[in-house]
Amino acid sequence: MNSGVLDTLQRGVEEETYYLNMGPQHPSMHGVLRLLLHMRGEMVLECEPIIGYAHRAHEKMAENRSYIQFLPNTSRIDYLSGMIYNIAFCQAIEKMAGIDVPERAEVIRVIVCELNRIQSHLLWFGTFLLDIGGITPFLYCFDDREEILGILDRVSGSRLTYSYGRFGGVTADIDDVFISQTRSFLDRLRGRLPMYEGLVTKNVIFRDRCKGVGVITVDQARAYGVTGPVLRASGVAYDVRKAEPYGVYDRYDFEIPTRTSGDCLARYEVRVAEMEQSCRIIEQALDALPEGAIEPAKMVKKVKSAAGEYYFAVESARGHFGMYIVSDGTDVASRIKLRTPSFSVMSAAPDVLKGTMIADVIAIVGSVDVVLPEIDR
Amino acid sequence: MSYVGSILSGFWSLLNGLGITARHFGRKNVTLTYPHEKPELSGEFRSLISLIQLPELGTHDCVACLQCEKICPSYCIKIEGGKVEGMKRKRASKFEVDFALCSLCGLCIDVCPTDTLEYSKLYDEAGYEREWVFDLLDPFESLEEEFREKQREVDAKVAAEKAKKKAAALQAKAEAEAAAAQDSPTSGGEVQS
Amino acid sequence: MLPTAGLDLSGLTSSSVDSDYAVDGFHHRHTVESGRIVEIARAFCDGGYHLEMMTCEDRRADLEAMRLVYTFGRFDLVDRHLVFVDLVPEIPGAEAPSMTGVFPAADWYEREVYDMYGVRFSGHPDLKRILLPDDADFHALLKDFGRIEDAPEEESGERDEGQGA
Repeated sequence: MNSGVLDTLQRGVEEETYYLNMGPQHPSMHGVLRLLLHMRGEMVLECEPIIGYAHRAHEKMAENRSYIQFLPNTSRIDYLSGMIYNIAFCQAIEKMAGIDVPERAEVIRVIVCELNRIQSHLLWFGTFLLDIGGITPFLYCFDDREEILGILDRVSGSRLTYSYGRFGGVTADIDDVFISQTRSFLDRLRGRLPMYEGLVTKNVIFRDRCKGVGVITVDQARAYGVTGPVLRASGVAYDVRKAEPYGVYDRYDFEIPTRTSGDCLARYEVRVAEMEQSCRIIEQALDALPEGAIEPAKMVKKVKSAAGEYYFAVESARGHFGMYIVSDGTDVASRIKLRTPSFSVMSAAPDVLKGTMIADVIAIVGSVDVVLPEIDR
Repeated sequence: MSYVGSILSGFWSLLNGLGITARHFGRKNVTLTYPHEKPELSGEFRSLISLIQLPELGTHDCVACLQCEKICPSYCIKIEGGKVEGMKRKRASKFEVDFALCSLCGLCIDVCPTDTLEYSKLYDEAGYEREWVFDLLDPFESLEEEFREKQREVDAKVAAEKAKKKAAALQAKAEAEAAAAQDSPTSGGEVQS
Repeated sequence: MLPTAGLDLSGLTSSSVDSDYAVDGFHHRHTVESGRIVEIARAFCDGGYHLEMMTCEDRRADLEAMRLVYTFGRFDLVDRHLVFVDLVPEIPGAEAPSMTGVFPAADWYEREVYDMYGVRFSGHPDLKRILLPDDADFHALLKDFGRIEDAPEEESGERDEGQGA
């Protein structure tokens, strides 16, 4: 072929761009996320996340059901932090209506919420490594996670979507078997974390794929309202449990792990360190478990509240989860807005994913730990 | 780190990982080989609700108050029932649960005033149709008839005794009035009962 | 580095009151005219706050307005500001200026408000639907759409909710 044709072919190869649809059915898109990538070769020029495939109209359902009827919905918003969201809704309504909660119920809530957080981080750990290509740790994590699901199943009856909280307490009490099972699980997890350290954290392939990849700066995080482990990996020590303590979290002594580099490796290290901190909280809670009732004498069916706007925030496994409730004085909410952390993180995706390579897109989306049902509600 | 040094340390990290995996070879398998091994369900395991057979009644105690139907967020309970001839207590005649809609929230169990609902341990259900409606009163058909007969007898006896007592009280009152009228025939005041 | 606190809202709000955090979770409440949205966003940004949440309420029944709700907060201390912007709904829908130039977080929040309530934002880089289907001809969270009372009677084996007028 003469050089003119070769030149044209060469230019065509260099300049041609194409659109690649990543998702919504994709093993690495956590949920049904669709990333429309405008690419040249392996480089992503632009990224547009398209969401809405898991929209189930929770906010509309909240306007058509009474407060207590909305309780099962709360577990399904983010099914991996189902207990945290369930208890958060109960706490929000208790604050709004002025319902008292017995102390034992508050401590039980802390224990099960922290177990839920560990379970969510374990699942993230396994699936993040699965996305990157390390298939082995996935099953080790799920084995640990089965212990937690068994413990929570024994006390609440469900493994993933619990309706364990009620306005004013919890449905079932914990017994000695629960306490001994939880303590032995904590010992087991602490024994397994060095194994994960050797298997994953020191692995050269893992480090090369994650170090320096997908840096999210503090300014970007603040601009998009990013919270949770992603923000803490960028250097800001913001955790709702310390900033606005709710329940009895102000009794317990725990740290907020932060890193400064803001890359995938930093986010990974923050979450692994958070698992250890959750173990600390559970231990302190079990050591100081008060006796008493776990729910009010009479079940609260109708919620009486003053008309107005209320806001309640908790730290879910993914960040700052806020519920904005507008009450008109009746038993049906006028508006419930769910401020979910993954929504803010995903809105930063076009900015963060610009100019990365497609393999890094997988690592970044995996390290950021989004759960699509939380974005779509 | 030097080029060779980084190759060696990388290689060592891979060997480390392989060693951890190899150590797991000798350990006990954690997989539950379902269906040959069935899992142990916890005591609180949530599945389709069912009516409890209360020992003192010999049957369930659903009085068709419709509290569970009203509170169900998924609108999956349909109850029909009401007053039964010859009995004081209301009874349910139809209690249908569409389990395909149930979200296992447990609000129906919490709100039942007679505490006659509980979770069943329905575990492996597979079928060829989408219909998943259960009538919870099915296991109670014969028990219900027995109960209603017994209850009618009890109610009739109680009603008869009440009627007797009322008659006795009226008679006593009439006698007391007559006695009072005899004692003071000129007093034009009211008769105290 | 996060800017230090130094919030100056003078002259930008129609009303500002302090709120009891222990009761409702807010420290301050403000009402703002829709024309001042970008200026107040700039004031919060310069003062070290970030946009925590943005949503809308359909208050056409009692306030005869569509109410935009913004929440601003900080990472280093707890100081939550609630900002209301009441828009008089005109036909075909209410309109407000977009604050994406100040807070990129508002991008997706405003798209969701447009999707669910029909409120348009001028100056938004790409205002299109985000959660509902792209060809939907309804705005889902309006109070006169999809009430359970309007659902048709159940047919055997089928549920048909949310299809009301």
